[in-house]
Amino acid sequence: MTRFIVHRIAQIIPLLILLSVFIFTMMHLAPGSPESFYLTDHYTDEQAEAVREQLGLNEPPVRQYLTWLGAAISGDFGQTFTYGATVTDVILARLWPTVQLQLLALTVSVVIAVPAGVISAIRRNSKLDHSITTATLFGLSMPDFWFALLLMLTFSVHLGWLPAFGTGSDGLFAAPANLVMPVAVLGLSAVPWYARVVRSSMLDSLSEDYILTAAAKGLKPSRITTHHALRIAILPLVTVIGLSMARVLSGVIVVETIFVWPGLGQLAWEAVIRQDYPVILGLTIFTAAFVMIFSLIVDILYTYIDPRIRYV
Amino acid sequence: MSSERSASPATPIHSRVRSGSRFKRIAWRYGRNRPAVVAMAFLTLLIVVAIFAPLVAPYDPVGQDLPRRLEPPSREFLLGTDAFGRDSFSRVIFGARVSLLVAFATVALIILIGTTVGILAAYYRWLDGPLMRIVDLLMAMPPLFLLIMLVALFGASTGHTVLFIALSYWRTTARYVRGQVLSLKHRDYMKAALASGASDVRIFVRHIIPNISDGLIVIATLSISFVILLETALSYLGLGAQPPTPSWGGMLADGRQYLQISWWLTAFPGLAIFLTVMAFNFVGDGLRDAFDSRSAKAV
Amino acid sequence: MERSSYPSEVVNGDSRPRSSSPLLTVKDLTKTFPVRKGVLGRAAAVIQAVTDVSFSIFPGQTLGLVGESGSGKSTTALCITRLLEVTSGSIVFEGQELADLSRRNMRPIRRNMQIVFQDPYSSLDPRMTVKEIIAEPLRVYGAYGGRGQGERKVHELLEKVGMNASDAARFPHEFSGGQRQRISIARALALEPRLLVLDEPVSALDVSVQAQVTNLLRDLQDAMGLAYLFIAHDLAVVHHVSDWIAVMYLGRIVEYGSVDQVFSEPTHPYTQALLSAIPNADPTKADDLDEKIILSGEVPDPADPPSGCRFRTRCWKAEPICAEVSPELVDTLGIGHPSACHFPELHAGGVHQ
Repeated sequence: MTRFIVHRIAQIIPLLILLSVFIFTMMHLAPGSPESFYLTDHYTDEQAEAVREQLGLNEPPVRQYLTWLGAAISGDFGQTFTYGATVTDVILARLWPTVQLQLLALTVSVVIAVPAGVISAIRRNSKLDHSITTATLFGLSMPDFWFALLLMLTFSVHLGWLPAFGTGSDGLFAAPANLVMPVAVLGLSAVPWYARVVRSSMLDSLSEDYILTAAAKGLKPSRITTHHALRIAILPLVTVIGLSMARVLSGVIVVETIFVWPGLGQLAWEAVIRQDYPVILGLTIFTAAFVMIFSLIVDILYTYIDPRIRYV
Repeated sequence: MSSERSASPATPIHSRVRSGSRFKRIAWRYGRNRPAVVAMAFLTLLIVVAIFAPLVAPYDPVGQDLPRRLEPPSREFLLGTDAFGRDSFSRVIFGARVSLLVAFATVALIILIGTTVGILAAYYRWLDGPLMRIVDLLMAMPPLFLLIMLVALFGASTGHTVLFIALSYWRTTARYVRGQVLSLKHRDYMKAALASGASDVRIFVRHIIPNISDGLIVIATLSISFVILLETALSYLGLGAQPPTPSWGGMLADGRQYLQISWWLTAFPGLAIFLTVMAFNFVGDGLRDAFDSRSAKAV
Repeated sequence: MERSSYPSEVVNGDSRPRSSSPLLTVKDLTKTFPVRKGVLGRAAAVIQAVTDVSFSIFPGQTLGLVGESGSGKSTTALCITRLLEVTSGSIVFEGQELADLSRRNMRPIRRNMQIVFQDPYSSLDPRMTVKEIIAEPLRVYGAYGGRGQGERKVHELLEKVGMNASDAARFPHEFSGGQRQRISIARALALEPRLLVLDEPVSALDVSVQAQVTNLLRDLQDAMGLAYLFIAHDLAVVHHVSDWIAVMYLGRIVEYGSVDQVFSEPTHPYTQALLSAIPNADPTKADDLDEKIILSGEVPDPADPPSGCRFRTRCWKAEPICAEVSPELVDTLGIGHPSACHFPELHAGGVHQ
């Protein structure tokens, strides 16, 4: 097990370096130039040159990359172009609002999706199952930004119950009223995916021999469901949640932009629009490392949930 | 090693004796699925409308009429007018063109890249490692972030939308195809084709692709709905089709400023996206149920 | 009689007419598979699937290759047809060495050497019509000709294997196992090969259908002068179709001789056990229980075969030497055919003639 973990971690580093090379190449192939962001409409070549010099963009690309890599290895991801702080500081400042949002959203999705999927599987082909499956399909087809706008239209514009923007707090925790809509959009948008996975793995699990044996032994159906079938059926869900962590940033880009939520998603959006190269690179490495560590954790969790799985 | 089990029939007896063309059987099964049929009809109508948009739309989608701006839905303007006095209904109709065109082109590209990479990775063991590392690399990056970054760096245009969505999302298809081909590889008919001296290209085209085509059709249909969601999200963020070209996502972005006074600018373009995406989802699910092949069930 | 080294001189006592030189000669064929273990995928061990296998097949004749699951007989078939890479040894077919041929150079050889697989349900592409399946080898070798000509060839092939020309337009799922196996045979015959490798062609079929397919194969052999490598997991199946028999156990040939020699004078304990397992169809002979040899135990793991003689763990005659020295395949008793045993003896038990 230890060897497995060490090996997996050893794989992460070259992948991260490769990823940074890829992003770096893309940024340098791109036609746009980040210095234009600093310049007024009428600027002289000297001014542009000075800005480029200051941002370190005049070095040959390979030198630029190696400088960046050398610093990054020691944990320094450089100065941002546009935020007046280091990349690390900017990312850390934006981390907590997103984590807050994501944890609540994940709770909402699991609390809804697991019972829905289980009920759907147990009462297979019943009216209830059909309703849940159809609702799932509706959910899959809902554009999240539209859903967000509709919520705003209803609860902020017409009813005036919920604030439409920001966290509504300067403290550690966002104001509950401000959390409701972003969490609802993020959480509900994942429900259809999770519910589908739970339903199908539950169906597989219910048809396995040991479940039939348990039924033959006369165990109560509810006990079979919760103690035996669900335990195995939850495995694929763990994977899907793990994989969807990869989508975490994707999901929050849209939601945070709409609700003006000062998290990583909004940062990603801003960095891209402002062509703030150091932030883009830093975010890429940060999220990729996060995704890979998460998938490692999922693999390790597996061994605890299903003792049949062993990593040698 | 060699398979020396006493082989069990792969298909139950009743299905061994059925006859009639495959297409007819699939069409019959599909026809029993009401929502899927309705969805198919809706999409057919939508595609026809999109193709003949100039004939169908009551007004010029980019024709401004400032005195009549922000009018609510009426008999004259079915879905109201926007901030420039343009007819929303006509814009929704023309917006279908952008979304459908981008979706079809992107999915074609996704299937092309995904199938090629998947087959090569599964078929040539020495290619598997490098190709799957590329997939891992892409997997490690949030796809929407990658997409937005590429579009922002290289500039927003319809061509870039197609190219970059395909580049960011081909990996799932590649993984699916790879898995399918790995299991096909061990079927005896593949060995028989090799023993008959068939070339690799012949094996890909005559044996592998026909045996995974059902699954690919289902994936393609479901991907269309997914790509429409992405394309409209990009347009909403201002990275899709550029004004004045009408696009559903762009209309939503424009309407956002008038959320407080003109609900119709938010409601109808979104509804168009929702219905179209849902129709493709229904058709995709319907096809998966209608196909009886393993490749379709595995999607 | 002098000791015969094999395979070239194994033919002692054979009365059958045979042409001078073998069509296929396999010498010291060995195939190992790496077993990957651990996350790093290192080759931690190798499975010796086939070890030093040698035999010959003469034009128009049949070699029956018999052994239990895991004996390596199907691996041997896949190596000969070069669907698997050969680890070492030589395969000479029509005077040409195949063991190290590239895939490109193997192509012209395949015309004369075709294979029929065991599982009729996985050996036909479900998305092709019968016509397309049978026509494929013809198309690959440019022998399909025009449309009319090609279709005529396909129809002739179908009729040759006892099917109707009208079956050409149908799909594999519309046929039974026996019919599918006939289609496989038609495909293998399309290029008029000289050697057909039959990898357990009847094992997956119902007993009544087995005889039909076996008879078809015999008729085709007589009509077309085909040579067969006929693989089966019991001796009864190959008895009536084979001229020669090789018995395999855990990757090695343990006894090799003409069909008469092996059936009437088996000297290896394993062959004797296999023969005793054949139900006695002759009512004049009592099927005495004590004549039956019931093998105890399972076939050992090929990744970790027993030292010395591989059969010793299940052999009732095993002595300490069997664990140390691997017995050579030689004609120790001087009766005309070799067996790989330290203590060979003519054993009447379980032998039905």
